[in-house]
Amino acid sequence: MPKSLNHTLLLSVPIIGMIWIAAFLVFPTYTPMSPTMTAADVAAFYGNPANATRVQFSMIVFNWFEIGMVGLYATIAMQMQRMSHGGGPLAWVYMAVTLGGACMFAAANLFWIVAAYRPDRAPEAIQLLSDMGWVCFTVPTGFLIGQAVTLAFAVFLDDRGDPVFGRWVGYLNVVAAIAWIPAAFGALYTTGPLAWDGWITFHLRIWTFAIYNIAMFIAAWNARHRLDKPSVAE
Amino acid sequence: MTGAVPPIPSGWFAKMAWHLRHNPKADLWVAWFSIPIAYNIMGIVYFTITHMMPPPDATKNHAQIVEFFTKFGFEIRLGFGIMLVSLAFLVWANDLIGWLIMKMDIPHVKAWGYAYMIAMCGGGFTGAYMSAFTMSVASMRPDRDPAMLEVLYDLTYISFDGTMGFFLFGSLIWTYTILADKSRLFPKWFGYTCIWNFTTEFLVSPAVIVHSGPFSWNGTIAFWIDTVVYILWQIVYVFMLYYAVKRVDPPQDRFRLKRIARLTGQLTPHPA
Repeated sequence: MPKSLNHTLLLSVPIIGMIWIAAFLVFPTYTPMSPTMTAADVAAFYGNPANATRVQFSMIVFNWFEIGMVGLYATIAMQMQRMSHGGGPLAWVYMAVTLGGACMFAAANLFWIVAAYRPDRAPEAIQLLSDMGWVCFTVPTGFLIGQAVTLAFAVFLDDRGDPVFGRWVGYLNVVAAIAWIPAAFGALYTTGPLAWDGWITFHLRIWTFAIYNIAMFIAAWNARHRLDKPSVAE
Repeated sequence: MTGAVPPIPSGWFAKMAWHLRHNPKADLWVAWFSIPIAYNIMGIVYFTITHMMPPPDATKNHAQIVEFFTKFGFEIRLGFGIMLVSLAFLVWANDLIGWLIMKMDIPHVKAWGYAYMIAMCGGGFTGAYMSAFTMSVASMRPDRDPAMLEVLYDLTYISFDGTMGFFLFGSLIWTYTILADKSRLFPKWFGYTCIWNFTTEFLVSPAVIVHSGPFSWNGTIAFWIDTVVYILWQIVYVFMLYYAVKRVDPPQDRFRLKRIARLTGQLTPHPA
């Protein structure tokens, strides 16, 4: 196999990231629909053919690529097995919580696409589906928090002279975990910064996620040659 | 820094820091501590904050369901927010058990361990998360069409009892491995108590059919007896895991062997 293909999995990550951004921009609204919208307004939103098409296009693309970031997370889990405590359960915890986050996003996807599927449904039902979608999209940050805390913990335990990831990765993960905590309370209010379209639950969460993935990609890319060595867990 | 590590200090925090720094089982112990903490948060959320447990009547009419979500709306959303932050730490518990299974002495033991991890994590995602979303969405707008609220109400409690298969298989795998394990990582009697636990997972199934009586979702058998058995078993299981983590060999990798050597002062730290 040509050597240039050694890092295919990792190199797929920026491409999938760009596809995510594109799908995100195709969605009819940049910030989420307001939680204060009435059932009639929500039904009108999905009933508008222009919006419905964009929701469907965006969701189809997300459906295809929503698990795509797993390449990055699996690579990180493999690196975790090369850390001081690599023989223990932490790498598996990291993989499992990653899967949880992807499943919750898939559920949100599903609710939105069903909301757009039959615009002649009762407005109350469309609103319910839309609410489920936004809640599933916003509040399950527990998985991201679990992911970040597990990785931070493994990085701080990695006390060899030549650690897999620098300490900055640990601090970054702690900061990201803290930034994601308020979004778990995204269903608490319908207005203000904690509502699902508020700056804490939406912008802080989304931008932390974007920066986190870019930074973790850089960390994983810089450490890529370690993957050629056998892991300590084997 | 050369030679042996410093002796264990006396202060509570200093002791904790020492263990994180030098204990070859530091990750296992932190995973163990996550069990009592995360399950207690879950219990407090279910029973005191959200009033989701003990479950309300399955025979409630529309007006009563609306009243339930109106009365406890804020508490429900607050409680599930707290739970959603902490729930991922139950994955630490599941994977600790899966990892301990991999240390047992039975054929194809790694497959048993992975099977356990996947079954239990799947159960957490469907059984616990689903109810958090449906309850939050229902309590966000109690002025919704009562028929919709009823759907969410049913989804909440039936998702709880209707996805027990994941836990059933998880418990079954753990029971089998404990009983078949030649190394006796867990005592055999604990394996027999696990049989109780997965039996309860069968007993909740009629709750998806009947609306009242001992097998309904708030019934004597499907809720009360099952919950008491589960909690008692959970208390036993935390102790059993404590002794198992104590007994299990530190994970076999070259860094840990060096870490142990450093504890006894036989090696300089940070070898390449």
